[in-house]
Amino acid sequence: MNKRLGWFIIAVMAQALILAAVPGRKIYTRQTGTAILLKVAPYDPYSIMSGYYARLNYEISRPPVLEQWQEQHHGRQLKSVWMVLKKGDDGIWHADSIHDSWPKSVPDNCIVIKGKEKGGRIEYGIESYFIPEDARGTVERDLRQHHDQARAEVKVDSFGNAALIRLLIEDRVYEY
Amino acid sequence: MKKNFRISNHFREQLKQEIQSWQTDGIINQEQLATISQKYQLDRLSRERKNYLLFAIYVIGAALIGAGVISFVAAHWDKIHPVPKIVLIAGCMFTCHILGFYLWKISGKSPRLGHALIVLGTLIFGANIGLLAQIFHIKENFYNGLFAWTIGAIIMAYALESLPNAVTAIIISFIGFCWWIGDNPHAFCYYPIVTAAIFLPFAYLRRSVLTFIFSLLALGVSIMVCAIIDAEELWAFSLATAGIGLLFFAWGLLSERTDGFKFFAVPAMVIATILTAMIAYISSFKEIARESNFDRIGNWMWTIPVTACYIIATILWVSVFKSMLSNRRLRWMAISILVSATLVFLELVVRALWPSSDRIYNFYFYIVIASNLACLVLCIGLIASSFFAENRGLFWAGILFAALIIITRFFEYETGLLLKAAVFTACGIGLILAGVDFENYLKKRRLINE
Repeated sequence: MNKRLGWFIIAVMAQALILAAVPGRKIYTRQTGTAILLKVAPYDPYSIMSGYYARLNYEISRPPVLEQWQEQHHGRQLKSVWMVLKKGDDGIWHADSIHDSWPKSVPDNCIVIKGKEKGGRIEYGIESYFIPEDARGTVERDLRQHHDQARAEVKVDSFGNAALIRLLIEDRVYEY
Repeated sequence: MKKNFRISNHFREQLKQEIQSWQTDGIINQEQLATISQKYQLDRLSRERKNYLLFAIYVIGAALIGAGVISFVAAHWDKIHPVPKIVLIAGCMFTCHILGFYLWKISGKSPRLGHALIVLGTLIFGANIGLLAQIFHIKENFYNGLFAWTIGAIIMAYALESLPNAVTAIIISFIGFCWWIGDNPHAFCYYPIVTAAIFLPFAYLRRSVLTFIFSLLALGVSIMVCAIIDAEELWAFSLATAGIGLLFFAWGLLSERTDGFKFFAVPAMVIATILTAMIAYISSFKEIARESNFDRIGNWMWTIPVTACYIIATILWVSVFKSMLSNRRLRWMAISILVSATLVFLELVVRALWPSSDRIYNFYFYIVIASNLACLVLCIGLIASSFFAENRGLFWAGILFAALIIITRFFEYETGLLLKAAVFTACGIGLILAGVDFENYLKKRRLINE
């Protein structure tokens, strides 16, 4: 009986650990990361929502530096990407340089964000924003009408991992 | 009687019926009857039957509640702040587990309900993974969540020897695999190795036929799916299926002669026979053979599990060959599977090795001949075995497969309605006559045996 109880406790603990591990990295990034603002646009303006998620695309998803890098490296595809971001005068962070490994030196006013190249775009794990059922219509409409004013507040930790915190469209804040 | 998994309920049911007649015939006395009844706990059979039914109802109920919880999560339960939301749903999971364990293992008052609650706890665990991904806006591949769920379910299955948890783990992992292969069509397929390393040992430890069947299906189908998705050619699928047919049948033969695991023999052999028949049938179509593109073998990752399959199958066949030949009941069936699957294998390998040779440009014709021959051999094997094993199921499987082949070939090659009518009529008459003849044979055998 005791042996069986021991195994049961181990199994329940394992399930609890798995549950803790699911958001573990995001919690770490949210707690320790530096907040930055990114310019955002819907992935597809005609189909913003995918189920309960808004599909987001960032200015840094397909930056000019990506094409420059590919030209310099004869079209070689990047798998993992380390993008150096620099804060602009408008408060938005823009792509400064792109690397295929962690950059050797990062200027003080810059931050490194890690991504993966997928079909000519770079994904940072912040492309889906969950929106509750009753707010879907409002956010979708707002994103469609004012997508040039849409920004996302993102936190980036010291390993380059990003976590999406809230969506800002003009002076309206959407946080779920 | 100690909990003995080796003795099936089917055997106990039969024994219960038999010992009554033994006592009437004076073979055993009242005391011996009581001893046997006690040893095999025959008086508990009807209660156990009721308990199984109750357990099935509880598990179905648990699955429905689990589905409700998952839908609840999917509907985005946004009125509550994330922290109480997490506490609430994690609390639901722990409550189900702890209450279930108490009822099942500690108080023992309601073991079936307790077990069902633990299954519900595992289902809620899966829903929790989805909920946490939603709360933290995690954009991960969906299959990663399913694999995490699988790990939690299989650990619980091993910890409590819980069959429904193991079956849940296999089903969830297979859905995850299907998703994964869609995203990674040319990656090395780890899933069959994981299945063989994690799920099959559970089936053996728990001596669970159900888990064994699910594991074999997950193992076999994943190798077949990997082959067709990676190679993008039907012939790769055929090659994989023939190999799995060979492997599973040999596995069945090995189980047949292994004490304590004989009940794994029939499921393995049935799955192997269905797969071999399916692939021989598919390969026998003229158009499919002609359209197969053997020139392009760009991707080769799929060949690793398929080659491993053939190597293990060869080792198993060599080890069981002698005993198979001396087994009157299974000999013909085994030989027919070996010949059919080998024919499919050889026709594909020979064609693949000389893809663009002009001399064998019309090789598809030989593929069709060989595949039809493989179907025929299988029919003969099934029917011959049915006579030796006095098994009605094998007989009808063989006869119906033969009828299917004849009708298909007529649809494929012959368009004359009159001839078709004649063939269908002949098939029908043949089926009825064969059935009557076989039933007479069975009756005669029964009389001789008596």
